[in-house]
Amino acid sequence: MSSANAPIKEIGELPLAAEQYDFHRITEDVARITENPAPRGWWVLFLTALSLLGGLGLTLAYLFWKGIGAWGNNQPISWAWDITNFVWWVGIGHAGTLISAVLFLFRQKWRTSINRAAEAMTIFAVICALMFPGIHVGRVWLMYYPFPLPNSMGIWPNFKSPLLWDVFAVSTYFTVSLLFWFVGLIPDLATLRDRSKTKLRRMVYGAFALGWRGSNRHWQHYERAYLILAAISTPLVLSVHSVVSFDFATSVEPGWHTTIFPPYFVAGAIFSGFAMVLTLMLVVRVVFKLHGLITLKHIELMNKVILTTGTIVGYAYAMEFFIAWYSGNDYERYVFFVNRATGPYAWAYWTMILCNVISPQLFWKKSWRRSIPLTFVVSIFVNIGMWFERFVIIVTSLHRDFLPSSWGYFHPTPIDVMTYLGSFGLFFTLFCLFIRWIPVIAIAEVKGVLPAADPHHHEEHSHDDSHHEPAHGEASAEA
Amino acid sequence: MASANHESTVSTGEKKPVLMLAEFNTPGECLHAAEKVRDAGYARWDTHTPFPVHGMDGAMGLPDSKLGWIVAVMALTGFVSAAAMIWYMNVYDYPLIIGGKPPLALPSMAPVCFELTILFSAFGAVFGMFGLNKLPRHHHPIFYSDRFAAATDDKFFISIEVDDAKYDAKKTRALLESAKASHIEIIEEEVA
Amino acid sequence: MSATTHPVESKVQITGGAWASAWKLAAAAGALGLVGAGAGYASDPKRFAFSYLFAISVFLTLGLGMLFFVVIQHIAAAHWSVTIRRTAEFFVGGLPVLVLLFLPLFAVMQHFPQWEHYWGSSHGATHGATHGGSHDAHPAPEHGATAGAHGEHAAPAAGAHGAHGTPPAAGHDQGAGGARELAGLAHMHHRTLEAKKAWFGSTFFFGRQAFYLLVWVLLARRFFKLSTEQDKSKDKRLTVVLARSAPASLTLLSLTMTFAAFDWLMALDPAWFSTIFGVWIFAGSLVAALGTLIVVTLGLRRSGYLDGRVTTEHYHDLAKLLFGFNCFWAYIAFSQFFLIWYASIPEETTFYHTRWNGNPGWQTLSIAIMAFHFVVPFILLMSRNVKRRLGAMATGTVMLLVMHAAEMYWLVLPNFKPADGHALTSLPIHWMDLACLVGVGGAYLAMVFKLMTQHALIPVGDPRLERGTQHTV
Repeated sequence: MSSANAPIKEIGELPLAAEQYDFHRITEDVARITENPAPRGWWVLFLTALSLLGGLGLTLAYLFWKGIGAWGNNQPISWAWDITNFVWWVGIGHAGTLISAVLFLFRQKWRTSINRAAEAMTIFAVICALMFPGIHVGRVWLMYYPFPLPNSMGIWPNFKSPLLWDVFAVSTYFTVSLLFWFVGLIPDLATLRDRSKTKLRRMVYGAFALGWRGSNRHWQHYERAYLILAAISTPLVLSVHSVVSFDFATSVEPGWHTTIFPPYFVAGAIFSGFAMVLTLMLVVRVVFKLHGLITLKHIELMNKVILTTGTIVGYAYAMEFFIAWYSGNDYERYVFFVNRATGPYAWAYWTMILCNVISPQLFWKKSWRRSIPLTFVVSIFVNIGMWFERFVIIVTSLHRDFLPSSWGYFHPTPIDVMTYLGSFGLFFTLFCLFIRWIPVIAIAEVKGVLPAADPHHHEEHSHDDSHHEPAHGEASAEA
Repeated sequence: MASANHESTVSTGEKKPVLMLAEFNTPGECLHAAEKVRDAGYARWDTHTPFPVHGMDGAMGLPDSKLGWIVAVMALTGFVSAAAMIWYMNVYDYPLIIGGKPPLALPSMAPVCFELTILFSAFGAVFGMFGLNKLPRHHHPIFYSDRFAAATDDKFFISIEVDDAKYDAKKTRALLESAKASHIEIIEEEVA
Repeated sequence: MSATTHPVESKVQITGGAWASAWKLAAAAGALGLVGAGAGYASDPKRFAFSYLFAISVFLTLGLGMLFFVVIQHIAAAHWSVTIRRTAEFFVGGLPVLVLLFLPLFAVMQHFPQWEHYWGSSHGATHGATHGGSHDAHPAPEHGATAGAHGEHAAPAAGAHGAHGTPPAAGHDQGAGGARELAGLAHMHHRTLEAKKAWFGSTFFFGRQAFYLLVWVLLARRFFKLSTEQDKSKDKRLTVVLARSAPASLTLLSLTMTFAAFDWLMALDPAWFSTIFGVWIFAGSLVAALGTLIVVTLGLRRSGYLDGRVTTEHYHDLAKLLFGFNCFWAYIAFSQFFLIWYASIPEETTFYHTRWNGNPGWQTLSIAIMAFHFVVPFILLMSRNVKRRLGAMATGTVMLLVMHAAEMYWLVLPNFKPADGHALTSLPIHWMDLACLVGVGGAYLAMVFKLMTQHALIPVGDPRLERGTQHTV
């Protein structure tokens, strides 16, 4: 019976984890990262990130002291790098939940090697994202304004404002992602607890493992909870970036107001999120020698997602252009054909097209999908391209105001640059701490997709797939 | 188990047995053993595995999880709270006319109502799961077993409570042995 | 370890009974419907054009949705769906019939608003800058003041005109419903149509249509033929071949379907535009396809076929997908409505204005679509119990299919303006709608059912077949 689940070589199916993996080996390989001394590569990354984070602290102190004028934002470009960075980070934060939820619902078992890191990345990216609107308000001590709190002024937040929807959407997303991540972590924290050599580790991991004992009565509710979280996270992911897109699309600004924005933003978010997951996992894989768990097959599949979402994003760009022309509307046509494609920001527009639409097309070729250096380069390209996408949308639409006398051009200040770089410091500091102290791969889930995890597996007489192979042909021959 | 065990006759000093723990090497063996334990009519028992074993719910004869209902109630609560909040704040207490929309503009309520529905559902799913599983519970006699640490690594366990009506030190052990348990032990707990 | 591992013996070849003769029934109904439609064409060609477009839209989205489903299964290398895939492939195999039935639309295209302007008098590549006919839906500037039949374009103009929408001459006139504004709007409308001349009023239009139809026929043939070939040859390489051609096929399919939707549905209001429109039609077509898959496989099972091959587990998954894609459809439909409602730009709001304030019939239908295409199925299909209880699921699914047809009606028919120029006060329901629906649907299903009798009901040569059969949720 179990032979049906064995990979069929003739149609190119490969095992998900390298063949030598058994349950214990997975535990060992993942848990040892948190138990052994950190490799030098980790320290290099961590200290670099920490210094950038220090830089962010200083930059923010200066920014709060001077005010938002320290950035290059000025009329008509009142939104620039800050909101670009916000949307960019939120977008990156979409892959984690997507991998966890959507791929889970679609039973893409290969997700198990990458979902933990992707979820962690989601949470850290959303933290970075939340920072930007937080500091963009200028008077950070008034950050409580958007929350529905009774106050002495007797007024409430305006629930018709897309920016308020953002507050609810992004904070809900952060909370739910954190819960999802934590629920997934519980069995693995129990694994670390049970392997602890020191009392402190036992106490800390034990406290967070909540006394998990692998009980099937627990697994039953746990699996249902996981399924429900996946099911509600999927529309949540869609809604969050849709709500972010509403910030722009509900306006009457040409280049912002277009109906495809919600799904287009979501596709872009998935695209950039997967690119960031790839960038990070390629590094983690080398630094911690996880080649057996994050295999070429995973990389190839992720590249397929990159190709798919990159093409969807290309479709959205094409729709914007086509409909701008088709509408016959002078303003729409101006924004796309004059402003974006040939205007002062044409360099940004074509960088975006090159990175987001052209570069992923390399992955049509199988050997290129399986090339690690190329994957790394393209993932970086996509990260850059998706930043430019937001920059193009925000800045090119704003810099040509309806009043030609107000036309402008955005020049970033060193504080703009430092705020952006500093957010990397925040992100990578958190990510380094994560890979050092928390199982970077979902141990229990990877075990669950090993062939040996099938309760009927050991009833077969061998692990050799080729033995079962003829049975397939015969079994399906009649009927 | 903290509860007193009146039937117990095997008592060593101030300790008393609470669990019989059988170890299995593969999920398949554990699953089939679970089927036997279920068919023998035990009620207070459990299996412990490093990952959820496919088909184990059926092998143990567990009824379907009720978590979905908790989530449904929470989802409805979230939706209604959001709608009520928006209505109270922007329609009743301080009506706002913005963007040419009436104070009660249903479409613009959709995003926040949706988000709070999801938020409450997630709380329902996670904390409902904790409630049904009675977690966190950091103390459990099963942790007294040294071998049990492998339950989160690569071994599969069945634990039968001594309190179970069907429990009989010899028969239960024989049942588990016949189900190919690789190791069987009795877990004892100090009498409070 | 040979045939003994086979879990169930189930009938996978239609040998007799109702399913063997289903195609004849469908063919008879189709013939009857098409004869009726033909009679309708003779009496009122314009009404026929709209009814026929409605019918084609309903079934073509279904067939292309099936093709999407098949292609996506190949891309995902899915095993759970293997036993269901063949049913979808039958609907794919029937697509050439729909392509054939598409052709009459070219004969009546001059009745659709987007071509009235360019092709109204003749099918030449040239057209008059002015256009005749008292039923003209697009007032040229000189007709501005008499834009009565066209009133729904003017009504929302009472709202604020963003500079986004309209050139200054029309945009800054705030006189609610004033003659000057109407003239301005009409002028703008005319300008818009002139701007699209290259899109609708040229031979490029016909070349494009030929391309769409050719792509659909070729893709349908390829995915049907190679899969049925595998039944006999058991050649595992065919699985790889199909998987390889799937991504490019998906790209082609998405583009052709998007632009066909633009050309034939979105453009029914020639001045209206929405970038999300193609995604909307795609979402709806997948809902229709998944719903039909559920209903047809349930029907086959009831007659004793597919037993043990398509199980409750498969229905649970199908229902989840149906639920998911229906939510996706609602998300897309809502996004489009929401952005247009919020921004309130007159040239965009016309679409919803017609379907809400146009007449009470459309408003009722709009509400019905919200309720029965989304709210009720959402609540019904959310429950795991319903997804595994086949009777309840079938009810929900049939409701979705009916609403799919209703949605197409709601997309196409509001653009129908009776020749006498009178505004309609209720839904323009006509017996020809039913005749065309039965005609097109009958002909299509006849082909589908005929194919069912000629091939195995599951892909018996697929290497993933056993895994798909044993699939549990």
